[in-house]
Amino acid sequence: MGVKQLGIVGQSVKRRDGIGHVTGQTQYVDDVFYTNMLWLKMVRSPISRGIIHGIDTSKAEAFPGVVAVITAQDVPNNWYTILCLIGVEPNDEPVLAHEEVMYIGEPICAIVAETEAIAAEAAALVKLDIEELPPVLDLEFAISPDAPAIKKWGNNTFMYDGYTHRKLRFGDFETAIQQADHIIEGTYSLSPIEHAPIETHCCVVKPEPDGRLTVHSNTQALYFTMDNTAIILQVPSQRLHMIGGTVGGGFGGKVDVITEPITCIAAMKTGRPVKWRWTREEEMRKSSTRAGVRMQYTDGVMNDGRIIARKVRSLEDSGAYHRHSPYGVQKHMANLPGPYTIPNVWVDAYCVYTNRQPSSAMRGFGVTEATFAVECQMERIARTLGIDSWEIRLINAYRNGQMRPVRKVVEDATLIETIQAAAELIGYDLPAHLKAMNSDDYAGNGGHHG
Amino acid sequence: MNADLFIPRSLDEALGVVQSHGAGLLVMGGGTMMMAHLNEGVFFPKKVMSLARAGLSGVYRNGHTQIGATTNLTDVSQIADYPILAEAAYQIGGPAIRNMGTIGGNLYMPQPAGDLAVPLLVYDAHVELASPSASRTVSLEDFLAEPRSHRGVHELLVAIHLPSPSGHAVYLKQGRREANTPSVVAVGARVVMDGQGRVSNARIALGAAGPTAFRAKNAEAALVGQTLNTKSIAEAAQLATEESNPFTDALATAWYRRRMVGVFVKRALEQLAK
Amino acid sequence: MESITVTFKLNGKTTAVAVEPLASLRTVLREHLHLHATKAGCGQGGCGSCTVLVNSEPVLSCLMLAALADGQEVTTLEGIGTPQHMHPLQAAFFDKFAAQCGYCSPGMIVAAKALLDKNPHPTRAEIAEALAGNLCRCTGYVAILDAIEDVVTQMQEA
Repeated sequence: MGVKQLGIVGQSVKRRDGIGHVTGQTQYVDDVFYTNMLWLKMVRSPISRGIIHGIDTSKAEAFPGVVAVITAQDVPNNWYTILCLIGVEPNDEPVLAHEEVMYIGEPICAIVAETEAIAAEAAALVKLDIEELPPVLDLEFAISPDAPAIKKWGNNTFMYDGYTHRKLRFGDFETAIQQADHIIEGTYSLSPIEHAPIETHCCVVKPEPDGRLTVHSNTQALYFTMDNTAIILQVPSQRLHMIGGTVGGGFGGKVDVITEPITCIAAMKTGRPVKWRWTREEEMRKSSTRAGVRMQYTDGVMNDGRIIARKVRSLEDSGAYHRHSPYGVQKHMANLPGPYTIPNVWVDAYCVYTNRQPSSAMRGFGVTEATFAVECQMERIARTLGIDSWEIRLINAYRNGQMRPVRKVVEDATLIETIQAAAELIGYDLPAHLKAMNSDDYAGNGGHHG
Repeated sequence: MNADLFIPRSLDEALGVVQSHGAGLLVMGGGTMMMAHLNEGVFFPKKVMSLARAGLSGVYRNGHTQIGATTNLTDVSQIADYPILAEAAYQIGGPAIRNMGTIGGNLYMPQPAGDLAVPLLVYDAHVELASPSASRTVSLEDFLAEPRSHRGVHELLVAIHLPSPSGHAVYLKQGRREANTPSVVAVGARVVMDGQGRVSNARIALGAAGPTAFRAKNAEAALVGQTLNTKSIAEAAQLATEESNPFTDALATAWYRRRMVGVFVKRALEQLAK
Repeated sequence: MESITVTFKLNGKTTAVAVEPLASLRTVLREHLHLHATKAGCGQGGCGSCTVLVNSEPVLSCLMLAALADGQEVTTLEGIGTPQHMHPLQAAFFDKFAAQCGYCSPGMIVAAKALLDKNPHPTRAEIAEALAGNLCRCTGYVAILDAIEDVVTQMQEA
């Protein structure tokens, strides 16, 4: 089919929801109001780590206008392991804490009241008896033998197939590094990043006369949310009527199914519609973030710019619980070597638990941070060797037919062609030998072969 | 939520409210700080007074200048004869916040907000306070040293008094963004030169470099009698750094703030030297 | 006191509403009067998504006591344009993809209108300064500035 026959591809198509957005008529979850609607506020852990000895909700329950209090006992399946369906285990995060708290902000109990202000004022009256324990907050400390194990399986990392980290081994790094002309090291770190969508988390649930629940959610993943909510509520998923798809900014911050289960329980317990909307402070300090990470590179590089050996040790901060991080670190491990032909690769990627707010999905999580580190390291190599930035990448770029460290053969590679196109776009005239390179050409790859 | 809201139409009426309800009373100027706390559920006051209609806005000139405590930041940003006060007000928030925030309220903001104290210290401001029984005027320095709160109020900030301006002044603010940011550091500097190009009077005020805004008096004293040159500027910047006692918060570390004091005092003095 | 009555002109129409004494103007607009264009992005005055005009000046409705709107003129986005009759700013935001998730759009458009009503020939820098109190997490702002500049050009040509 020729390009001329396409009707939509290549056209600028206006957003279907654009007029609603610019006139303020688009309905977001916080715009949903039901008659007789109640408001929910969450009581959260004030400390990073501790043992719960008592939760006294009596003053809150007695507060005029409070209709219900939701505790761990009200949650049919009080486990919150959103990736359990792809084998992330064991269950480690309760929907509502009852034995211990693992991060500042961890949900403990919910107050449901006639107005938002009453719910907030009553929530402040809940008395928490929590024995404070020293938190684990530093990544290196967390994986050292001196650190207390904050996870019930006895250490502070996710266990991948029985190992404390994901291992990637390709070729023979330890021999190859001895043969390198230069050893170039670099450590690259990211702090956790908060998505900060302009719309905070919000969920409205209305119990229907036929026993179903109508769930308005600004989740990014409606089916995923339905499945996980059904597992927590222990109901068949057809009990849930999910309404969503309009999200005031997600960026990965609204995939953790963090509001729907509790709001559903509140609606079921009270028999009335319930709204739970997060304050900006909750969004900023208690919602999930991108993982903080520290990546250490040790490269063996030849005088001509070829990287012959690469070792990476990476610690990603999952925070207190799994969420999406075990999956993220898996992707991360695969991307740490970069899109380059390196015959000897050694990667150790750890998914580390600390007493911080859990990290989770955000914009290419696992991969984006690896890319940042890889390209900084490539630049460091270029400057150390006195080789041009474009050249160092084109020399090392992977070619078709080569075996990658993750045991996949490269096919349909376009890295070289894309770099060349970028140079042209910005008006940078690459020298002839770099212009001549292509993804099928091993000669320019300095003798690397797959 | 049940609460008593008072919107007095005059200072006398406002003082009457303080007299009757002072103990549990929350006072709002423009409300930009207090409403934020109410919205977030930080506290739940039962008695609130807004000064928005109490007739405490306006700029009056009578030999010296008097700025009403509830004059909003937009109006303050247009007080052309006190240029660094106007500049500092313009660098707060965005247009909407400036339409609401007040100069008086700004003096109650905890660091690293409360930028206006910096130019006001440079301009030797005094603040006028009124209670049901008395009225007093104190230097801004003394006022900043007192504990002050919007809550459990027994007196109200009524006006800011400024002597006629003199000399050249510069204000520099470093934030985390180009606009709408609290300060990493804020520097206000003013010099008056004698006939021989030497400093006869200097003011260096710092914001977000201590528990309150303050004058770096050692740095000021070191400039008096000097010309503004590389050496005298470097010395003043160093002294200002030593006089600082900055804090760490989400915006910046104490270490970084201390470094920035030196950088921005130097820049401010270099601008004055031109 | 349990409630107060606030009487004001809202989008040109006199409106009286009984509210809790400490209710913000934003709460009254959204939850009593069910005008949802004005958004609740924070409650701290940081995001600007609650921007409305009071006596033609931009204010943050989340930080304004509804009681202080008594006797004033309030304009929300609903009073600026509708799907059937869009204001040029709204049409420009739509055409130039200046709205992605849409949550900042009402505040941006209200702030832009306040600017253009005062200064019909702003520079791009002046437009950016007028929007200094409005945050966007999706667009990176360029399309928003382009849309407003477009309207400035249209107004100049008219």
